[in-house]
Amino acid sequence: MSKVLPELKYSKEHEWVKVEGNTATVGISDHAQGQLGDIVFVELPKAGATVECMKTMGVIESVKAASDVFSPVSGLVAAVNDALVKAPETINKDCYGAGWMVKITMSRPEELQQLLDDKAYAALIEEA
Amino acid sequence: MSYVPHSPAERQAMLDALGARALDDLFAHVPAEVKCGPLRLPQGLGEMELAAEMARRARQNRSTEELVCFLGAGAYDHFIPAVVEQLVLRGELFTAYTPYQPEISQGILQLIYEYQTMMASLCGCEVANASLYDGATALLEACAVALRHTGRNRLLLDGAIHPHYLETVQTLLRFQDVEVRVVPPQPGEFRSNLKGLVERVAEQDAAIAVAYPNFYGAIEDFSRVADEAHKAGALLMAVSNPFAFGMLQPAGSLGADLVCGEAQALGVPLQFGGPYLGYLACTKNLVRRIPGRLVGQTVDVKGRRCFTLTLQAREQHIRREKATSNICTNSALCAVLSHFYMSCLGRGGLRRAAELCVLKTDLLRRKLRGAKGVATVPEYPVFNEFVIETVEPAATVLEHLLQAGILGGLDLGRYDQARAHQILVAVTEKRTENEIERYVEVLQGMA
Repeated sequence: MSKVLPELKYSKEHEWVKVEGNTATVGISDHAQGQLGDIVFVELPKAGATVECMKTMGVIESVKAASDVFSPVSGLVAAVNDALVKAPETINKDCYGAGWMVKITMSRPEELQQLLDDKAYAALIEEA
Repeated sequence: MSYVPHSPAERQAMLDALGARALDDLFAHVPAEVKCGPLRLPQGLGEMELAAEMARRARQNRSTEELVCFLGAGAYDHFIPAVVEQLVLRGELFTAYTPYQPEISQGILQLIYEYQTMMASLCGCEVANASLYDGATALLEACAVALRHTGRNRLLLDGAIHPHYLETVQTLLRFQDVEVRVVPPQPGEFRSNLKGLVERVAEQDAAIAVAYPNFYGAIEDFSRVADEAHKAGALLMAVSNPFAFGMLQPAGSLGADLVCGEAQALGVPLQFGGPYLGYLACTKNLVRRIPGRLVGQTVDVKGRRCFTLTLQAREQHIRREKATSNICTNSALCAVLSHFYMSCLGRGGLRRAAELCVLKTDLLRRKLRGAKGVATVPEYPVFNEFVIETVEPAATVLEHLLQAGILGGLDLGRYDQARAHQILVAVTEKRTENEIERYVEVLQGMA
């Protein structure tokens, strides 16, 4: 059973969002990392880049597949977890902690309302 | 039964859908002078008569079998040991492509892996791909790598890169919102304008491309250009004839992030202009951006060494429209030829062949200096190619040489009217002292 943390919000594309003030920390869910299998490569946006809600912001490549990572909110990339470039397997080991991908300074915080809470997300992956 | 899969009615339906009246309408954009037209054969020829007629026509082609070749400009007449061709004709290898279900063909994958290793080592790079179509495509693909890697949309190209390559890059990037700036050599110069490239590079540029040796044969240490490119956050691409690395410092060790171009000189016959061998080598950090096939070494379930296509998430059968390129094959047969050639010669042999090119080039260059009919032989450092300025127009001189069975070089006036009295001359290790002397004699005998 995949772990779903109650304090986070989730996108339908399996990204999680942790909100602190105007900053959204983003990663991929335990369900997503489990489905992908061993992650071997991560491509992230550069700090300072503009990202848009539900547009591609990066790529995750596992031994099984290459998948786009979508930005769950619009804004400016404030920080990038560069450690993932050298150690992409961190996402498999600790997707909600050390495996975070980017921090985004939100330009339209109201977009958060379209995201799922833990129960709705758990139901979504249950269906799948 | 007919083996043509489409019936006349189906063809007509397709033509109607396209708004074309006849099949030939689809080729209307091809210039008339490059179409061969109808064969105009008499009706009812027997096989023997037909073969004789076609052989007679084929003899009108002139090749380096018969002519003495001093023509280069991107394709070179090097000696290829007979064993190279013999090996490549083996049934297991005689295919133009990387096989489908590639891992079944461990032999071909191993050869491509070894080709990649030799090519990377020759270029002074960490990685080389399994090859591309030709030199022009290789440069275009290197540009695409740089554009993706930097997220920028401007390129700064040395104007002394082969004009066909420049044209290909400009054509294919025309509709991609990329600004291509070309910096030609200074007036009257044959060396690349490295100073001009350094002065112009800015933080909007994805990369600078330098030709080494350049189209006019000039060689120069471009490491300062690489430093300045890197300072601006841009990459440095070297467009090179890798044969020259038998002797020259490899472009990778001078600071090039990408080394690319035409590798025909390494074991591929001239064969009337193709198929040839585009190559692309780079630093390891760019490996996920490069196009085409890439063979890697791994172990099977029993721990035995084996080979596999790797990093395929770059390719379009995995990533569709987000692939790094629409190329998902390579010039496998030419790459294997090149593998056998490099293996036959070895490191020492490649160096010796390159040295012979330099020595013989220098011999002809010295003999032409002061020869009758030669106005000047411009002075600049070269590998196996150089420019002479003739008293008569280059076209006239070359026609005269051709009459004597000598392919004398390239008329540079074909690319630039101001150079109508300049000939680009190449000398490989194949040219004998007699042939070199005859070149000078025939040229002097013109007046």
